Amino acid sequence: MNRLTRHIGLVLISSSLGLLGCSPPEEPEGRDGNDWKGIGEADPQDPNAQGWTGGSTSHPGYSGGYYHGGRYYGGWGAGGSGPGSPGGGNSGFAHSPGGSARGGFGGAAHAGGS
Amino acid sequence: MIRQTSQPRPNWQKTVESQGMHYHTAGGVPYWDESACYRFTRSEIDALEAATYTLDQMCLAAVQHVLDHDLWDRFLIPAAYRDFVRRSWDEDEHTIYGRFDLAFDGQSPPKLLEYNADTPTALLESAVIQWFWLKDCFPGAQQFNSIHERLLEIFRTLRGETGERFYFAALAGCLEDYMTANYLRDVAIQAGFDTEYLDVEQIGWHASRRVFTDRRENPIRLCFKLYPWEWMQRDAFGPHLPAGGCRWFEPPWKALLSNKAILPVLWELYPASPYLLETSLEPPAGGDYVKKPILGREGANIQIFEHGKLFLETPGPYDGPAVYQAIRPLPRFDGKYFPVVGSWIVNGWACGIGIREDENLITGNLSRFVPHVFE
Repeated sequence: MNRLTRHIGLVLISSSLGLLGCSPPEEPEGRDGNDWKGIGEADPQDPNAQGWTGGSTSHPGYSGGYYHGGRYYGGWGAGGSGPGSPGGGNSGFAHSPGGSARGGFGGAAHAGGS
Repeated sequence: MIRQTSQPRPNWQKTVESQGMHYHTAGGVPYWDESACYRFTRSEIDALEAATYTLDQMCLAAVQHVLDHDLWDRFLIPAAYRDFVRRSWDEDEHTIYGRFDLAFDGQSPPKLLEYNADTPTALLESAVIQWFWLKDCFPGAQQFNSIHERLLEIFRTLRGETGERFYFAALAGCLEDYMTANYLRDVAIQAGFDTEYLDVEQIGWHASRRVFTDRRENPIRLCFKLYPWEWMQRDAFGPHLPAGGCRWFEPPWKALLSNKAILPVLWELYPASPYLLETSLEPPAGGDYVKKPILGREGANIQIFEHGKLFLETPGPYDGPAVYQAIRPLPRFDGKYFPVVGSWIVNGWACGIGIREDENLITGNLSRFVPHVFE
């Protein structure tokens, strides 16, 4: 029965989590959508350059009220194009230097504020 | 199935932090609670395992039923995404994981309360943290837990299919979601994937290249998102999903199973199943039922009615259509603790459980995670 044995050395999990830097994320300053770095411009000491992003040091889901993902959920239909019109236009988005629009996902969760 | 007190390990906070769990306490109250555990018999674990396999098969049949009968409106799936969902099903896109939430007292068959098929959390606790707790505290006991191994299997399968960089995304600002995504990322690395984490909000859309992009403008072809499908569909980038060229996990067809509108479908198909509670789209006669918004989450906006009168409810932002489920009170242990058994299905394997308990009948995001053993 699959549940009775565990062949993997689970210490690998914690060691690899450590390699991933999985400790309480710190909120970098200036992450307003306009701080994107182009290829080759990222600071190798910048955790964001290695996939290290956002978060807070407390557990935001336990500070009262209803949250998902640490944010009040403002109901569906509140995408970046405006409530009730998830239309997909790009106007109003932050754009990275390479030309991509950003912020087109996460709008529903952002709608209620954080 | 009994609940027993247990002596917390000295400095347990540091221990679980070293294993990746930094969200163990909230407001001074442990979320990870090792002052108690649930003890099962082997036959009780067998019952949970059998129920999970059966429910998984029933759910897959229910998806086919929804597609065959075009029941999209029940699920509030916008028309623009229906072919997207259907295509992912027809192409047998892999699922990684899901969690059935079950009411179980050790006596009668487990009953499905809901299926967290798209964005389940409490994964690290279930797969890793409670396992190390078992080894420290009850080294001679068993635990229903091969979650990590099954995760590694599915990621190895996926690695055999593609060498694309595997992105992992969650909402910015939530440590629990961040760690869940990064635990899965860790497993993907062990399976041989090149990986990267980014916040959901950081995913870009390049209009001329018609691709989703990472922060360095690389195309995203493979992405695990800890972000619900119903939100993606309604976000501004949603319309790009069908032609965006990205393979998403969980796959689009999971949007049907994570939606509580699947519960009446299951009941229509399997009214004799011992694992289901009668659930309908209209309040049943008699007035005893639990009302759940079909797109609700984490125990929000749940209302319990007895004899037609509101008996208990939880706050939240969800409205819209709901389903009406027969009341199945959770078992009560030690006079005040109500556990829900979260039973994990990974790549088609019933492979472990995690228990959340509360002093409230409705399990929410304040409910504690309590480990388990069996003998």
